[in-house]
Amino acid sequence: MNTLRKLQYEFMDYLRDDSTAAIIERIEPSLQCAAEQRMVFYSNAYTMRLKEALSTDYERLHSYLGDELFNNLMHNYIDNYPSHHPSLRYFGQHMIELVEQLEPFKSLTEVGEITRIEQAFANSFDSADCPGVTLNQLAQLDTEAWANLTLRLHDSVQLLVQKYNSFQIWQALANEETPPQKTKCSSTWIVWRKDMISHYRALESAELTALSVAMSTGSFAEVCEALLEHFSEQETPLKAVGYLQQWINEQMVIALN
Amino acid sequence: MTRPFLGFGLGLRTEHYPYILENKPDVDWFEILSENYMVPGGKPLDYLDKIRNDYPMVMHGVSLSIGSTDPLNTSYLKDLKQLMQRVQPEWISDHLCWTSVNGTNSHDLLPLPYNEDTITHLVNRIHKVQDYLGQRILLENLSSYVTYKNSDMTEWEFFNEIARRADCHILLDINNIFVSAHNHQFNPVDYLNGIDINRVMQFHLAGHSYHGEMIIDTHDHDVCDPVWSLYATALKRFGAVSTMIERDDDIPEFPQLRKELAIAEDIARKTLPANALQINTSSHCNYTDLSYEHTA
Repeated sequence: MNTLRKLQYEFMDYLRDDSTAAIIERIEPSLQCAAEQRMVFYSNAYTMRLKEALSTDYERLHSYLGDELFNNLMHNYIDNYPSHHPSLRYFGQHMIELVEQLEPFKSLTEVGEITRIEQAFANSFDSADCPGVTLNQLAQLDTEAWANLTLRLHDSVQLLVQKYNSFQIWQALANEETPPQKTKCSSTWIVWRKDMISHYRALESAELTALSVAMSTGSFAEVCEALLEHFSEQETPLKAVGYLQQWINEQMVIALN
Repeated sequence: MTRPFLGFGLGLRTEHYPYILENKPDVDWFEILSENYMVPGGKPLDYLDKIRNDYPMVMHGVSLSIGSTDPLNTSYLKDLKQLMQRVQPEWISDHLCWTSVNGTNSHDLLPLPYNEDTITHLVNRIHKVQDYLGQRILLENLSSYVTYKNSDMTEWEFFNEIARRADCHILLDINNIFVSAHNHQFNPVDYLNGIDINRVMQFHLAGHSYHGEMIIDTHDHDVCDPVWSLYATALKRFGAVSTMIERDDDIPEFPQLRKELAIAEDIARKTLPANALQINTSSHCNYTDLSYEHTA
């Protein structure tokens, strides 16, 4: 390993654990400030910058956990998930992995759910731009095209399955209100982006079925088939078209093939 | 040489998007932080496109890690080039530093030892980057808090030699010179006098904070008087150089920041003849010095 590479390894080791002192030997001391004191500026800045990124990405989680627990979570994250992306935007993307394996967070199901909500909003915020299909385009489809129709949904469309009232907790925190007590409450929510703004709403079971199929295979025929669990053969086509129109109005659909 | 002169600009910050779009303030140009827009889509790029319609821009990065001993990050360079194609900036810049090693990013601008081995290493990498981007880049001097025992030249000797051999430009951060001069006990005017006039394409100005005996480059205060004074000295040496103020923390309302930029304009007007301060962008003057062909 050449001298510069060795220096950089030692510097990075110090940033990640300031008890490693090899780099100190390479620093020129001065009358003003000892080498150790100079290096502290870098280790402090390293931790501070990463904590700031996590606090921004997980603002509601921070509010829910309080300073002490969130600080504990951040330190664990910084120690275990060093940044491998040039942009801080992606530094916190593995937070759910840590939350789901580290106590006490692991035992608090709603903490994982709130983490996923925050990640979903971050993902929808800057997911790829793609113009939505219009109802006019839908109306212009040939009758025979419906049999093999496939739809493609926007990258921002994400489903969030919840066992607790985590979305209500998140909403209260977002509005700077006291969150409700956590209670078991199965629900599924959808997060997506429309007109550059992230939106969310709860899904009823039939729409969840339809949307899950649309997201996995995109086949409209399979959406209809899956909806037979919820509706009669007569009702199903109208219901399926109704959902499709709603998704188009909400700018979730980016292609009809 | 005819250096393009964009006038006086500000760093584009999210806090100011609505104000800029609504008021179209009188600012000559904006500098964007490249990494903030290296995302697939959404609001950041939407705002960027709208503001770009009204203002010239330059791109300023923090993650090129030109001094790292890791291989150049080709995925990063690809995203950077894609953003360049979208923004069509007057130029792009990053820092004379390293930010990552062994695949781990520090998200900080870390200093390099100033010696011949580092120069050789950097020159080779700058050529590769410029070859890939098809144009010269600007590199900026850091604020630093340490120097290394294996440095054997001054920062300005190191910087000049790299710029000469790599055929790149210099973004001179006046505040960073002031900060490093204080932290490492050198005369900031020696730094200015040691830099090749023909390589300097842009100035940065910013505020800083005192932490005991050291000054930290925090970008959370107004530009202080000694830095304004150093700026005037720099103008005398380098002539009209596109100048902008960076503010990254405790960000004031846009009109307040605009007033601070007016101080820079005022100093330039008092220091340089009026005809030197005419806006002169690459598109206006067919300036081709940013085009780059590496034949080595």
